[in-house]
Amino acid sequence: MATVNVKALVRLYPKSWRRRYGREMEELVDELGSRPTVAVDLILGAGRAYAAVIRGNRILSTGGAFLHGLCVTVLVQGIAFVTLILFAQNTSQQIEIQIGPFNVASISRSELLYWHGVQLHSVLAMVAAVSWLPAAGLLLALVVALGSVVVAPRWLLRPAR
Amino acid sequence: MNVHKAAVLLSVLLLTLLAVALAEVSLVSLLFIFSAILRLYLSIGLGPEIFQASFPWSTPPELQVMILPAGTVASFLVMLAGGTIAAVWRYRRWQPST
Repeated sequence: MATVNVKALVRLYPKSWRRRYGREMEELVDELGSRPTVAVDLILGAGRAYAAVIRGNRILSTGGAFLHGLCVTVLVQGIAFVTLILFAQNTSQQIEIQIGPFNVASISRSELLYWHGVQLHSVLAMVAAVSWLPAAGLLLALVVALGSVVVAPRWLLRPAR
Repeated sequence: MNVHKAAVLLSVLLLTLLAVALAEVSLVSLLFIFSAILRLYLSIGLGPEIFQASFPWSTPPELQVMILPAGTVASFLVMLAGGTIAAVWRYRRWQPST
C-alpha cells in the first residue's frame, strides 16, 4: 500500500518527462521500496524536472524569472522595513522618509506616557534594552530566506547525484 | 493577426499586474505579522483608505509606523521594476539547454 503511495509521487513530474521516463521510474520505485528517503528524492526530483522544463522554454523561463524577481523584491522590502524599525528603536527622533517631494513613510514614538494610570518611562527604558532582539531575529530570518530564494533556482537545476 | 497580438499583450499585462498585486498583498501581510511581533502601531495608506493593525496589547506600542499612499505606490513600482529587470535579464541571456 505504501509503495503505491510513493509511486503516486511520480505523477508530480511534468507530463513530457513522464512520457519518456515514467515507466522506468515506477519500476525503480518498486525495486527501492517505500522508504521516506525515496519519497523525498521523488519530490525534489519533480522540482528539478519542472525547473528543467521551464528553463527549456524561453517564455516560461522569463515568466519564472519575473516571479522570482517579485519574491526577491518582497523579501528585500521586508528587510528594509525591519532595518528601519531596528534603527528607529535606537533613536528618539521622528523619522521621515522622502523620495523627492513625496513623503513615503514616517516613524514616531508613541506620545502616551501613561497606560491605565501607570507611568511608562521606566517600563519603556527596560523594554528598550531588549526590544532590538525580536527585530534582529526577524532580520536574520529574512536574510536567510532571501539567500535561500536567490540560491533556489541554481540548486534546483543542479544535476542530482 | 494584430488582434491576436493585442490580446497576447493585454493578457501579459493583466497577468503581470495580478502577480505584482499578489506580491504586494503578501508583503502587506508580512508587515502586519511583523508589527504584531515587534509591537508597532502600523498604518498603511492606500489611496484615501488607511489600514491599521490593532492588537490587544497590555501596554501601548512604543513606535507608530505610517506608510503613506506614496510609499504604497513606490513599493508597487519597486516590485514591478524588480520583476521586470529579472525577466528582461533572463529573456536576453536565455539559451536553449544542450
